[in-house]
Amino acid sequence: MLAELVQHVVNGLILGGGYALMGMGLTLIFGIMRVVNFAHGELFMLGAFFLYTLFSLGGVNFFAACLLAVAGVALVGAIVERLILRRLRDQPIEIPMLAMVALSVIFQNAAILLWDPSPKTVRHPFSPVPLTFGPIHVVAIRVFAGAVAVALIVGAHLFIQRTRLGRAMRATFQDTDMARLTGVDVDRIYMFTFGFGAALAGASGALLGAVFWVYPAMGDLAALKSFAVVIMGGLGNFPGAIVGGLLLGVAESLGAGYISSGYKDAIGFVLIILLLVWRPQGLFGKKGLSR
Amino acid sequence: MSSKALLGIVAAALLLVLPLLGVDDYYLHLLIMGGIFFLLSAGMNLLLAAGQLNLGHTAFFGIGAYASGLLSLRFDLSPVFTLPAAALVSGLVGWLLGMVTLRLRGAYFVLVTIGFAEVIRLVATNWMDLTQGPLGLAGVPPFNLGAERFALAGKRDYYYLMVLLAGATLWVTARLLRSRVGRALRAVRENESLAESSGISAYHHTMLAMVVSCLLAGAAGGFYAHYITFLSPELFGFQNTVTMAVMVVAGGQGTVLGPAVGALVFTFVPELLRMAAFYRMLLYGVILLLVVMFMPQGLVFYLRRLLASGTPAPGEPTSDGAAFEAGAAAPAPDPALSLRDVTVRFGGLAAVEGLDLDLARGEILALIGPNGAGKSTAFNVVTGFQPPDAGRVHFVGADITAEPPYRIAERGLVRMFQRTSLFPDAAVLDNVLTACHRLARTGLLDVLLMTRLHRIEEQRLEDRARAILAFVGLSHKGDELARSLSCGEQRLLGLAIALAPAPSVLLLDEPAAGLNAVETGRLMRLIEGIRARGLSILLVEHDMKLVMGVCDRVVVLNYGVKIAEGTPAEIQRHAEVIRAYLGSGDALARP
Amino acid sequence: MKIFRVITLAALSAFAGVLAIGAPQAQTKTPIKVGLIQPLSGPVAASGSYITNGARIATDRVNAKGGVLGRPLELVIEDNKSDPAETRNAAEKLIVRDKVPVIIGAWGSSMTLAMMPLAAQHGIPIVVETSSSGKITDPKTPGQKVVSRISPTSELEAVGAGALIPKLGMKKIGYMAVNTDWGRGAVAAFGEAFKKNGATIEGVEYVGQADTDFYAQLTKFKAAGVDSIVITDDAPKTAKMLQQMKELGLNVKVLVTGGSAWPDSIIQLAGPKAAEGAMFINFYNPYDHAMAGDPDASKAYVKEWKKRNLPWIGIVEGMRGFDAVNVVAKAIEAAKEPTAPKIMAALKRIEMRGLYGLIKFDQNGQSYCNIIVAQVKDGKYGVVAMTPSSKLWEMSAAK
Repeated sequence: MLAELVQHVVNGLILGGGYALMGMGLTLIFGIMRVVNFAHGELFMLGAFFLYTLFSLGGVNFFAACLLAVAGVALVGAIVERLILRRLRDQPIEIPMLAMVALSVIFQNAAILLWDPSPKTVRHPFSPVPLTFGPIHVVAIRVFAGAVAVALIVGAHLFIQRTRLGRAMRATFQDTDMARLTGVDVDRIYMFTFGFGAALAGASGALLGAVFWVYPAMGDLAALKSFAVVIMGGLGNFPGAIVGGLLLGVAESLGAGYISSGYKDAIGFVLIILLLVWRPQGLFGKKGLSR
Repeated sequence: MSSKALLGIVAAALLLVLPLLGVDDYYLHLLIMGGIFFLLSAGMNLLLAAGQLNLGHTAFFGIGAYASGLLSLRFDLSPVFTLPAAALVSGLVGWLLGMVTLRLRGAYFVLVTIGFAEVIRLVATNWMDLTQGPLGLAGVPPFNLGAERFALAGKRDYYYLMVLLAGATLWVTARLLRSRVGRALRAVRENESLAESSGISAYHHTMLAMVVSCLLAGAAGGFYAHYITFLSPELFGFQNTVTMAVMVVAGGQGTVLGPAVGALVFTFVPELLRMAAFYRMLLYGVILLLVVMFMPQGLVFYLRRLLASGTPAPGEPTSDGAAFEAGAAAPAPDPALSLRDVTVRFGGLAAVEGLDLDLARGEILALIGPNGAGKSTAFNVVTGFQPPDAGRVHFVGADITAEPPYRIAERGLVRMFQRTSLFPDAAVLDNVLTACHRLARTGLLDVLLMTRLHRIEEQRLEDRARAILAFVGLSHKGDELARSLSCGEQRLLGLAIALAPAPSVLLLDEPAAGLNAVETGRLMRLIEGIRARGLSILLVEHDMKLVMGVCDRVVVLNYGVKIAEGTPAEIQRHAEVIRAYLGSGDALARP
Repeated sequence: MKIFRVITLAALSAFAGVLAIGAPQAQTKTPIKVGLIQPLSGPVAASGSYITNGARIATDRVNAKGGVLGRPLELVIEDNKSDPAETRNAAEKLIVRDKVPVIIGAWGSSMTLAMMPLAAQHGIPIVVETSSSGKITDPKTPGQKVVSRISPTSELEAVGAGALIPKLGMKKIGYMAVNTDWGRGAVAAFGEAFKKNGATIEGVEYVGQADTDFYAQLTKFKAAGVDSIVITDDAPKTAKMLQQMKELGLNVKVLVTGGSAWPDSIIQLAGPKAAEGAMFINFYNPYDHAMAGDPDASKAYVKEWKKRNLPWIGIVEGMRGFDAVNVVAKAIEAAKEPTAPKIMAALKRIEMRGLYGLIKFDQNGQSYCNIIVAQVKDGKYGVVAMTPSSKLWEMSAAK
């Protein structure tokens, strides 16, 4: 009984780590840049496909391929910002949102054409034999993914809070005109931020693609979960994203384990609705930052 | 007859005779599907006009479809009853959801609605007993007019039914968007605090938009059920909502025709792209991206620009613009406004402590003090934006402490904000017209049916708005966008907006801030003119020339506490006041 | 940027113009059009692409032999985006614009059900190649009279595998099924069959179409002490389930139903270790052409599939499209003219051999097929047992 509960919680933490990974890039793009990024799932998917192409098709070393895949998605993100989002910066929030919808259609269908819709496995170098701690089983690749998630979160948080570039980013999105006046190259910051957010999405796509499998529509679920995580944790809040993700994962795991598997996704959303009605700014968000 | 009306009649005639022109069933089907999506997009558009994006809208579509389907299957009821019933069910669910979620704004509302639709989808998928889950409901009866023998047969019958529904939708949304309801919705979206201060309840208007949009979605769902005759949980899929959002935004949000154009274009384009075989969806994405990037205001906006010939004729005022109804017509108890022992604390700091203040009828009272003295906080308490921790506020005898801002405004106490607060994307005349909201007496039914009573009232309000603009000296700027006015002109517009709801007490928050001497003088004359019309005025000011020149009495605050009260001359000589202003010696310059 | 606006408006107007003229249709009198509706985009695009490719291979083969009634077959392929409403749109276009006399489709049961009333209204026969819901051949369902289904229902699967169930030694079963009509139908049918053979179903867990993580459900099964797990889901999810079972230390018997997942796909996606021992109910064996109803066709099919470099894991799904096209071709031949009513009548009377086995339709439009139980033995494809389609006819008649 207890062993089962503990396993469920451990499952939930691992699942939640994956969700937190998915949500990180979005917390930057949606939380700070206020772009409703409906192409987030596709950036995630591109990370996975880039990894697959480099590692499984191209034979590049797994870890190097991960890094290159992330760099590739970062580049895609920067280009998207430069060519598309920059034009739409002053428009109300629905316009960039719609542009991202269009991009998601383009990316997903391009992926179907470039690679085919057949699912692909990435034969990563980690052993599939589980590590056991008593009755609890955990598998190495997921521990790796979890560790990377934590590292990325800590790194991103420190970056935004402690470095000059991070400060410039925060300044730009709080008050663009003031930032310009203090000499910040606002256009480059926008491009960099979106690229950074895309890179985080791509990283989680590469890792989770290796844990699960790679196919063009894989971003759909990731996008939905990412929005949930960002809302739970508070817009723009990195530590909040990890707590939100873990909470979502554990709630779903326990829900599926003890209530009903069919409704498990609903549990997450009901929790979020209840949370927001009680605390409209999310778990960690600041009051008044609603628009 | 205007060219617009003519175009409308031609389009309507074309729609009606289309099936007779030999258009084949495939295109009739697409037009019908386009019509269904028009009902959905029109609803989404209405709520978006109030600034709320409902990305769970497909849930109401699905609820309507299943409601009508189940009622007609299980209880053998004719679709002519179940379709309206389905609309009502959706409307009810929308109302319930709105009660819970409309307090949320912006991104949070969007995400809650997404979550709501997902929950409904999962319920529909898993509640096998009710909906048969993924197995779906087959054999939903086709639409009939009361009995099976009056069933609709071919495409043509359904087409005309859809034309009827679409026409009704167009009428309702046009009536709502083009009347004071539309003005109120847009006001809530552009500047919620200002809307509330003008007597517009953000909650009630967004709720109205939400319920109407859900009624439309439910009707669309009911129609779908009896047209396609098969229902499955895919109806609740997020993809549907994305399609509607595309239609609204790319068609032209906030416009009446936008959803219609969007629905037709984005129903036909993906279908016509079938000829592109495997590149179909890719091309669709590219086209959508191009439309968004190069026509962000939506197709309707650009089509109008293409078709428009010259500037539209300015509206002709029908009155001389000199007289407008001020608020204080009937005799009212004295004092007009009184504060008793009002206290506000933020954390450990008392912003306002034990404030007593009386504003007599017809008086101009100034509230002055150094920065941070608590003046704006006091204003916020009076106008309902800040509930006090202690004390009461009375307005013409009634206790208005902690009432919501729009209720206070409805009573006749209106505020002009400290920093320029307008509806920036609306025309100057519309700004004032919107703020006349509380003076409207005709009901929603009058708005929808466009009764003579309503039309007379709209004209009356428009005349009033013009009169007020003339009073503040902005008549010549009536058609310009509010954002394009100069700082001084925007301040005058702010004053006009505050006068619009016919207040009996007017609160002015630093009206002279940022104005030069000439503009300040003009403002002083305006304030005197306002008092001459019977209003009582409470103002916060730093500009001593204005205070000494215009006010009857002055109250001085320092660190949240009243330190002096009296005529301007008395205050100028008051020792404590001088001490409080130490360092700002020029503030006490003689008039 | 005004020029771009003009261009975009011009592009849209061009489409409007197409509306007036009509989509270009190669209305040369020669080819006979056959409609094919499949999910080519969206979450199940992989299956749709396999079936479409199978259909193309069959079409090319028929045309290489001179076509039908001396005319080539032309597949008119439409994407239904894995959605019922889209299926309806596609069917409208195929029936009204392309004037196809027969439609193959539409993969998912809800998609097929959405277009049946329309097809019935126009008298267009539908050859159903994958959908498994019993509703489709239920006389109470509107449109059933135009349906000829070559794929089996879950009930038939269960009957066909029924003889095997006692031999499997499955006593305490945990069932993982995808939360669609397919999964739910299979749970109902196989649940019955297991219970009849004295097994208990400890729990049924439904998983979402896009789910990837099954730890919660598997943990539950482990705690309940199941000795076997039955799965009804597609290949990628099944592979993940098997892998995650090993990760959780859950080493039990596995039976996979439905025909989409088969040993090779799971070996490729999950690796031979995780797949070892798992059993699959399939309808086609690409390694043993004698099992198929038409060995020559089977050989040609596999050869062409390899030649076109199509994904090997999809070959057991592609055969659905392959058989469907051959059935249509045979029916048109028998009908002597490519019109809907004649083709419908010919389909009702047809009796032929395909990769599914013996193909002929009962009074509800349902055909019966080979039921093959395959297994991963020593990391490779192996067969445990088979019920040939002819036997299935007998067994069902006896029920």
